[in-house]
This record gives sequence, structure tokens and C-alpha cells, in this order.
Amino acid sequence: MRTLIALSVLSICLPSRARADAAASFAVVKGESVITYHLVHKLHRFDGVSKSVEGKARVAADGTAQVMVRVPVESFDSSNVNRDAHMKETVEAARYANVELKAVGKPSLPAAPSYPLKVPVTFKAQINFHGVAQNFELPVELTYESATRVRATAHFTVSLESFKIDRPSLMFVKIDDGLTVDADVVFLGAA
Amino acid sequence: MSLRLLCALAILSASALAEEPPPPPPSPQPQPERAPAPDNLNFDLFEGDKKPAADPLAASKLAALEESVKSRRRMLTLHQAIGFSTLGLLAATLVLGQLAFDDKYGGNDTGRWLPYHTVASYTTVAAFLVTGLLAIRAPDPYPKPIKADPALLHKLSMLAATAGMVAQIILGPLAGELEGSLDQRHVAIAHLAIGYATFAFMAVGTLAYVF
Repeated sequence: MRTLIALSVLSICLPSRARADAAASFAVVKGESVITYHLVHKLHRFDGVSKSVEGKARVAADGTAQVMVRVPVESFDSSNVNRDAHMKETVEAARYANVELKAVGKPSLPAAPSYPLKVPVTFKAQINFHGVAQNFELPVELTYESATRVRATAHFTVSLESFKIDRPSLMFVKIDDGLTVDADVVFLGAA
Repeated sequence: MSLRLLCALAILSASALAEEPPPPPPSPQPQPERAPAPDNLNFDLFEGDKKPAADPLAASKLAALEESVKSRRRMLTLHQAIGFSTLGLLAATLVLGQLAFDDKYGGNDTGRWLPYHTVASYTTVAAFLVTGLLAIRAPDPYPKPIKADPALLHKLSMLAATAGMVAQIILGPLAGELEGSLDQRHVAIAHLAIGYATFAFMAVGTLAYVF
């Protein structure tokens, strides 16, 4: 009788224990992930695109996700080599090679998810850019395309001057301070 | 009875958990892990990645690069300032040249615009030369690939404008030398036309950065 009770208790406890210990690792799919910045000058607007996105995510058993994404500042292409060179000078690409984002959040998924599934979540995030780290709230839309493939999209604006960046000028007019970022990053469950 | 109930419960609970969809997001590679604090950003997921070996010359290389960045910015700021002035000077030279031409071939041939045109021409050529040299001599700390973009349009336009300037340096004095000759009018027309073309190339090269 005691053995049976012990077995029953174990059968109830073991799967949940296993779940509590489980964690998932994800890695960014490089060719499919894009980070774009948008800047405004009095005379025109321009965008810089990078597909050299690296990143990892770790999801703990309680669903808390740690995410880290980085992009080499040299990899942004604004379709103008002189402008790109000027941007590299401005953000001191040789000294601060990467823009790095760390985020922690807990997406709440339904008990029985069916894919694709869109989940909005606000991450606590930190951007490290030009040697300056800043924390902020980052709203992200997660699209679970399958159990192991997640697309994260985010749109946010940061101030260049808050990262101690001396705004570049064209024709003696500085660009606007707001740098808007569009992120479209695909994560795949790591094998 | 209670024994059956317990067993049934045990089986049900196990199967219920087995049927439950994977935890969000499902775990491809389960591993023991403590749940991170929801507000702790003090982690590094790239920690285990290989890092390139430190370059002992990195600090001196960086200092040299930053120095050339400063030098480049100073030179290109001057390039812009003198470049805009050159465009204005060229416009003035063109207007004075047109007035001199009209005076010579459609007016009283007083020659009153010619000295102004000559002074404006030499000033424009000098400013153009300085502008070009500032761009050519500016260091290039960050290598730039050549591709079809506004920067290439700027360079090609300015190359064409340079060719125009060289032609003008020859045709202007030549038109003066041919005073009294029947060919003078043809040379003056060519001089005027190349002046307009040079201005157009310079304007395109400048506007290339605006759009």
C-alpha cells in the first residue's frame, strides 16, 4: 500500500519537476533577421539596414526569457557609402564595434497554443551603444511560427545625444536626434 | 477502492501532463536551469563564444584611426563650405560670361563685363581646385566599397565638372586670343556651352547628397 502511494505521488511530481528544470535555448537566424534604423535630416530621410544580426535567447522553465542581440555598427548599409563612413565615424565604430541589446521578459502563452501565435510582451531591456548603456521598456510582438521558431518584431526610438553621439551634419544642418529602430529578428530553437 | 482511486489519479495526472502542450516556448534541449530574475539584465549569453585574440597594436592603431577621422571631418567640412561657395562663384561666372557674350555679339561690344568675368573665372577655378584637393587628400579611415549610389554620382559628376573646368581654362583665354578672327564666335559659343554644362554637373554632384 505504502509503495503504491509513494509511486502515485512520484508519478504526479516527476513530470512537473522535469518541467521546472527544463530550459530552452534559441539562436538568431542570421539570413532572416534584419535591423533597420531610420534617421531624419531637414532635407531628407534615410534608413540603414543590417542583416548581420547575431543573437541568443534562453527561456527558463517558468517562461522567463533572456534575450541578447548584437549587430556590428559597420554592417549597416544606407545605400550611400559616404554616409555609412560618416556614421561609422560618428558612432566611433572602431572603438565601439557593436550595438548590443539585452532583454528580459515573460511572454504569457495560452495553455494550448496553436501556431502561428502572436504574443505581445513588454521586455525590460538595455541597449549598449557607443559605450553607453541605457535601460528602457521594450514592447515586442512575438510570433510563434512553430514550437521552435519565433519571430520578434519591435519598433522603438532612442535619442542619439543620450548615447553621447555628436549628431552628424549635412550641409551644416544636423540630423534629428531621434533614431528609430525597426527590428525583425527570427529565433530558432538550438539543437 | 482507495488504492484504485489513487492509481487512477496517478495515471490521469501523468497523462494530463503528457498531453499538455510544451511549455512556452517548448524546449528543444532541456537542461537544468534556475529561472532568471525578471528584472536582472546582468547576463551575457555570448560569454562562451570565442573572442579574437587581443591585438597588441590595437591601441596605437585606434589612436591613429581616430586622428585620421578628425582630420577627415575637418577636411570634408571645409570641402563642403568651399564647395558651396564654388557653386555660387561658378553661377556668377556663368552669368557674367553670358553678359559678356551678349555684349560682344548682340550689343555694342563695350567689353565692360569681361574683366568681371575674368576675375570670377580665376577665383572659381582656384576654389574648385581647393575643393577637389580637400576631398582627394582627406584620409579614409573606414574603407568604402564602390557601388552605384549618390556618393558615386557625386564623384562622377565632379569628375565631369573637372573636365569642364580644364576645357574652360583653355577655351576662355583662347577666345580672347582670337579677337578679330571669324573663329572667335565659335570658340566663345563652345566656352559658354561648356560653362553651362560644368555648372550642371556641379549642381548634380551637390544635389546627389540631398536626395
